[in-house]
Amino acid sequence: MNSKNSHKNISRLEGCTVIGALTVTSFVTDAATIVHGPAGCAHQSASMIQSAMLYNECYDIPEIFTSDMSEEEIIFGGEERLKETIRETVADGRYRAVFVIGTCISDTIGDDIEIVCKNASAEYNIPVIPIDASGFLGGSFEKGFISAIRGVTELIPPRSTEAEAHGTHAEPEPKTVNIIAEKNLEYEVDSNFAEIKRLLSLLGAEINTRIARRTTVAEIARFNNAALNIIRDDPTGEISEHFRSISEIPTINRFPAGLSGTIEFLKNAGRLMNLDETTIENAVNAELKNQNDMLAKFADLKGKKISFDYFGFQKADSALLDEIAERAGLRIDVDGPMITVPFYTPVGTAGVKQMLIQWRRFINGRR
Amino acid sequence: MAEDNSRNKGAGAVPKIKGRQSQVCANPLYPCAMAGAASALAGISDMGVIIHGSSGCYYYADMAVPDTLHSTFIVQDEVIFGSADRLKEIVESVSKLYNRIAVINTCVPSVMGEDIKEILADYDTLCIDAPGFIGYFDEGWRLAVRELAQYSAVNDFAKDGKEATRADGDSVYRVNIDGVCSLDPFYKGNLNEAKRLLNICGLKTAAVFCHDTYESITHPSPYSVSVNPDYNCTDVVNRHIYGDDRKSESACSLLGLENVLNTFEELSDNLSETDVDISGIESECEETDEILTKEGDRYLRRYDPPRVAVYSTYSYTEFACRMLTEYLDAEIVHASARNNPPDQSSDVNENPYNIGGICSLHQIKEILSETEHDLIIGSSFEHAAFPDSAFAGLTFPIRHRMLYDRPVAGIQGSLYLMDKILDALENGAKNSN
Repeated sequence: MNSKNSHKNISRLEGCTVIGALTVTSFVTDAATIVHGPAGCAHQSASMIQSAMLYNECYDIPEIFTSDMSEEEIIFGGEERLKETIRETVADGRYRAVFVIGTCISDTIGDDIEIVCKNASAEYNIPVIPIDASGFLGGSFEKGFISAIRGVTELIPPRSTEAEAHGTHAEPEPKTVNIIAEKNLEYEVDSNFAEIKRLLSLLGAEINTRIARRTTVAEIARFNNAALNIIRDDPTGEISEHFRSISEIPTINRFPAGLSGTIEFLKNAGRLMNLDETTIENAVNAELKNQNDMLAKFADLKGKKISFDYFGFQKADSALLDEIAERAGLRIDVDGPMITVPFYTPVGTAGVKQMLIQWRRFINGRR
Repeated sequence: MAEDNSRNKGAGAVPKIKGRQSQVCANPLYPCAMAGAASALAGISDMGVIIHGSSGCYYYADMAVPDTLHSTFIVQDEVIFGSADRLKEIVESVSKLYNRIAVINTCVPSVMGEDIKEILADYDTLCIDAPGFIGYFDEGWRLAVRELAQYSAVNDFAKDGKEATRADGDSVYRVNIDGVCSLDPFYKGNLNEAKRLLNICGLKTAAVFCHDTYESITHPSPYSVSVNPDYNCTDVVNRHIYGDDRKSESACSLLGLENVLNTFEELSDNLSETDVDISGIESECEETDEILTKEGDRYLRRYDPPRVAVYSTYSYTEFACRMLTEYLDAEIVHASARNNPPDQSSDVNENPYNIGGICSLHQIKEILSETEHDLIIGSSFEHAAFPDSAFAGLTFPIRHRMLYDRPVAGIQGSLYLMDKILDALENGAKNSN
């Protein structure tokens, strides 16, 4: 399916599914990802990811394989070359799973990636999972990202199978949480995760697994142990819908945003994990105190004017920003210094703190 | 030296156009043909370059190539119903901004079977079919240069390389600067250095391949110097202009002091010795050689000769190996090029550093993890794979900060490279960026 059907549609500019898919699959540390296309496609994608990761000060660049299709495969078909690449990739036994991402050219010439993967799974006795990507024919960066999340969940064994294997009941462990669909190229990805972990610790909860950020195949297989799923962001609802279709674990479909949003998140998470009201109330009180302590560090901003510049693609909503300004004692006024709204909504109380540091720089004329 | 069978012995070069290895290819290190064609053509300042492909293809090329690019941003509809309307729409709008237009075909439009030359028959365009599956960057670069050569012609001054420019009636020779490739992180520094060297000899710059106006590039001088022979264009262009009865000379290399001297001596022989004074170049080369020798000796008084792995494009790899062995007695533990040598007819015996042809980080990791080394010269890919090793960047991509234009070619280029190598060796990985 392609949503980019209008010539005037700006979604023409949304980028390549392959890179979107790679930002998920290449973060399963003991799985190999093969880009089925010309080597240039894999280089281009790997290079973009490397560039973004180095900007984020991450130096452990994932290994991305390619079937290195040449003119010969374009003419006679690339399935044999893909089979050979899978065989070479699994030969040394390093990998517990393989993801195969199609490109626009392999899709155009009609290579049947699904059947190659199915046969390879049987032959090598490890999961070989096709990712529905196909470059621009598959949609956009976001479509590739969502397809890869779906692909990664194929590594989750059905709950009954898992229970049989371990001889246990398939009951989830209370106070354990899955973190889903983190944006691995986001600059704040690790600090956002740290904030979620901190908030959950107020409820006495721990992380079960992350799908997927430097996660192993075995860790993904533990998915069904959790009592709650938390998705980074799901504007289209597709990710939530997918997880509802594969498990009964309750889901929160976005990381907490803003001050009251963070408090609501704590209450929601506690209730969905069936925690008692006292535990939830204690967590909320602790966080309210943390927020007040944080805001006290910005007392110098009280009474100062600000205004917001929404130009661009920013997703933050104005009510959230208005609330932060009000709690910090700021006055929203068109005469105030224009503050650029961040592209992504800051996560939790820690995110608000980092944003207020930026606001202070604007207000004090340093930006 | 680590075992590297990536080049068939006897041919002295990578015999494969794409360099496909029998081993698995992971993290390919160099961009595709489309990016090569885009880099060559986008350097022509008054030419609008359109990537006929999807946003994914465009975004990468736009990141890798510093000059402005445009795109048709095709979607599935155009693959099914044809891309002619979309292509004409974009060419029409980009034509308002430039004198000339070039269209570069990517993988999917290339297999769709549309004749884009026919579609654009009403427009004055260069059309390059450079899908990624035909090969790496260099393939696309060469295709673009070959197409460009079709439009080249003899300039007024080209017959003898002279142009009357001085008020007193004296004439000044003009010389092309070749091998300026915008993917090369050192291209601007190289260009500045080549202009400086020409200026020292009283020569003017003619065409700069490929970083000039369309008019200048299609009317070059018969004489050239090259800052990177891997990306030489003048042979192809001048062959078109002069045919087999060539009056032009190949662009000689400015990589390394010896080449700088030889190149300017040759220019002086081919032009007129009375008009071209290379004494300034000779004395600067001599002084620089003394500096480099002294610095090498100084290093070797304290340390053993370094064991170095070198990964870059062919000519840069060879140049770095030459510098390392000449001034530091270095052991080249492994050397490999992203691309084929510029002169593929050369004998294997002319490859003293046994420079292989590897374009997969996976293979480099396998070889280098079993090879003791003191320094890696390469790109940010190699640096990422071995973050604890001392590192000096010599090829695309270099992700760390490069705020000013550094040369690799010319006299200053030799000094820069030696400076970078010694800094990396002495300070180790901590300061290697």
